[in-house]
Amino acid sequence: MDEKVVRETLRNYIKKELIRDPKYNLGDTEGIITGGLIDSFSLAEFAVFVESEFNVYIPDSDLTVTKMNTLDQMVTRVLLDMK
Amino acid sequence: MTTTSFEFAIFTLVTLVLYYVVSRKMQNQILLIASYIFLISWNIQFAIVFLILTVVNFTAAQFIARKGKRSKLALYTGIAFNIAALVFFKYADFFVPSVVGFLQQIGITQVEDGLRILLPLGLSFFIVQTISYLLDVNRGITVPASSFVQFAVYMVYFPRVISGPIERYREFQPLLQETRNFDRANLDIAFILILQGLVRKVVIANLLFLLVPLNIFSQPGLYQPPHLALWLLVYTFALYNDFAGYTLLARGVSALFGIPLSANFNAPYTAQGFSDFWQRWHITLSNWLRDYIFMPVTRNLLRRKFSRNHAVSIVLPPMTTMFVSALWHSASLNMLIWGGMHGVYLVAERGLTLARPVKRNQSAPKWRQYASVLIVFILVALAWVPFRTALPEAITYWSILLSPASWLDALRNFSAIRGQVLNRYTLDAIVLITISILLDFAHLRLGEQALQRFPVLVQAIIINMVILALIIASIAQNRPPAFVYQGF
Repeated sequence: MDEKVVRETLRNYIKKELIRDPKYNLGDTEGIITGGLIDSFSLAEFAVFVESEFNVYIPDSDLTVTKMNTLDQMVTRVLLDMK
Repeated sequence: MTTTSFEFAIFTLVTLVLYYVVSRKMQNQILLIASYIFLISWNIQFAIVFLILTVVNFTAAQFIARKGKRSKLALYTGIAFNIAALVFFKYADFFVPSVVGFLQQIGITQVEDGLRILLPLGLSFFIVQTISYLLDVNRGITVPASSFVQFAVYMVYFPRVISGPIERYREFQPLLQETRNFDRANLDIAFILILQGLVRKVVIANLLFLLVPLNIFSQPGLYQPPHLALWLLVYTFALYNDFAGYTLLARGVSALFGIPLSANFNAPYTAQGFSDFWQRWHITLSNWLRDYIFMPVTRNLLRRKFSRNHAVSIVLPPMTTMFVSALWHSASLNMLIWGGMHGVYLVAERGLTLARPVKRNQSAPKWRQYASVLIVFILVALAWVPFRTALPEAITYWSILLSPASWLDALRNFSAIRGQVLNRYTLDAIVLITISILLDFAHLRLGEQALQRFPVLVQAIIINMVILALIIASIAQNRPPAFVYQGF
């Protein structure tokens, strides 16, 4: 799957379902967890979405602020596990 | 030998010299021997228990890895064994009297001393590490340890064996394989961590604990609301600095050996929400609970089509997580109430956030941010009451503290209690709490190594003031209070 498709799919999901503001301007390097936009509940939802959408399993211990704080990090991780 | 004792300082120094004199291959052996000497200094029983548990878990992990997908039984058996050990030692006090009574009835006397079973210090910390290790091996996230020495060091590493921080094997093991040379950078980091740790533990926490009236939590009915509010505030900061101070000392000592340990606190009383609080308080335990309890429960519910708005999805994960946290501390009713309160706080917070779009932390007006900090602080402080005392006393404490009638009464007769509430001890407490807040402020603004950002002259003045404060604090303490968390 194309990197751009993955990125926009994740961006739209985060804006619509997790932040619940489709008009939010989510940057690629913006701190999503450190900015208080998503919490542990939302990370779990994100992980289940990635499982169903991309068939990629991200272990619980990798759903952390150091590894999943920005859209860039999320996209990189999904693409890595899709290969 | 406690971490703030002179004996510990000498012990660390001797270990350090041996550590850097021997070859790299022998460094881990030195750490292992030192760690068991440290355990034996408390009680040889602790060392024996930890050794047995280390051998069992080392073997279990290798068996689990070999069995692959068929290893579930081995995994559950391993976890059950660890939990059974924890339960046995935590509750031995309950059944030893019954066993002694029975033996005496059948004519076997004078056995009580021989049956006395001590809870090994740090066992709760030890067990969560073994459980996460077995789970990670089973999930294929961690390769099982091939070196028993490295694994044993991970399990009983003396700077953190008593009260953490809790480390994951896959993150700790590479540190044991690296070459660790003595260098100036490590020394600087270690010095600042140890200095901060000593200030928080010896100056702030110990002195605050000494100020708290001995019977305020055991006999709250003897006090008026202003007393209860004041000493709860003091206890709140004493507990924080006690634990944070210990962790900083552990990290500082470990830095001397070239092994960085995880941070455990990040100015928790500046949290603007309860999720935020648990990302700042006892961070390594919070992360463990998130990874092994909260996330699996939440993900399983979501996969079973319980939507995020479903009551089960909102309630079950945080309540389960906080009850497990409470049980980890102790299986007493008051501790379960403490955990339940934090579970309810998290549920309420989650319910509120689902009702509206999420906003960035710093986008709310300043007054709202400060109000959030204050509300979270007050609710966290109220929850410390059952953490500290048995349930009947906690209920009495709350009923007086939260009673408008009691407050009106106290304020009407304030002149009678003024001397008890506004006195030299209150001033001392305010000064110590202010220092704690300033340290947090410096930590947030300037980072952990804040001291290094100042000019050398300023650093020298600060260090001298700290040494003076340590001397004064040490003189003021005939018998310094023990670390609160070494009891878990």
